[in-house]
Amino acid sequence: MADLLVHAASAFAAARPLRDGRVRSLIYLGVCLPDLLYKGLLYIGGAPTWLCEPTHSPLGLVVFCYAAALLFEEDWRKRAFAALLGGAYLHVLVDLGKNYMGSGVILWAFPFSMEAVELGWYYPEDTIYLMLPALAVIVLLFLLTRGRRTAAHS
Amino acid sequence: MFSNSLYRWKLGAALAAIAVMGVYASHRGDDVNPELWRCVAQPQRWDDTRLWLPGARIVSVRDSWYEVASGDPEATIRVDGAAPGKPGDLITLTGNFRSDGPRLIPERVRVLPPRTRLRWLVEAVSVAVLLVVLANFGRHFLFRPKLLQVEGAPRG
Repeated sequence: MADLLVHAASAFAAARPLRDGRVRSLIYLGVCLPDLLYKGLLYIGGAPTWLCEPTHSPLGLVVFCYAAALLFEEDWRKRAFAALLGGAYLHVLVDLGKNYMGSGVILWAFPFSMEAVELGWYYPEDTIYLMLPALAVIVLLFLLTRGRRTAAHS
Repeated sequence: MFSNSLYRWKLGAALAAIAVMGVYASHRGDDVNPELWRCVAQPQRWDDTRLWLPGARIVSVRDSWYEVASGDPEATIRVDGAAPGKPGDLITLTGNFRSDGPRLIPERVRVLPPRTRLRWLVEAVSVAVLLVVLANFGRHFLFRPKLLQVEGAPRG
């Protein structure tokens, strides 16, 4: 969970136009899910790093989100699954841009391949520079959409 | 797929699939980017293996090689070539492990900037963000008996 503010900003930008606050809250949770699972398994579960890697793979996330969606009431499961998975995929997309010296960050075809890919656009420690812009995006979107919603209600 | 029929089986199967994925990834990934201490402990087994050290500290510098320490448990290894920094500097590098020495033939080396030491700040902000996200989720989904009683009360 090294840069959840940046991930949250991406989810905020994607989900803010949605009218249903419950779906939005699920997308926000979904965007945190890969790191929440990864760090949870790593630090709380004491698992080796490779065991945690499926939490950042597209197919692995389908299973994690399906299991999480089953914890919701029946009427909400499909929406919960879609929202959690959408958020989680957004997280993976943002992580894909990281630069790990060519070692890769996302197991894009797990379990069929262990090849890890990366776009190499920014180094992991550069996220500290992205924190303030991310916060600005969140505040700006909040103010913009709040103004429109207030106008729509009045 | 999302209905209540065979609910326990579906949930059990999903949890079993998660466990199998983890074990499978552990098994398949065992030989990819192994920990430095494993390579140093069994140099012959890991000869010509590609290594990535996300964070290594330069321990000593010579003319044509330098020594770095990395990992937990910490292990040291000789790296061929000119040092990218002075002793104490943090670097990240990829390279090929060779059992003679043992030594590392570097491919890409980068000195980690001072902002790497501010990781704690990013982590602290991330925890705060997670708490806000969980609070927002709870606001929408947590079971609230009083609200249910009011909303669900029979009318008329």
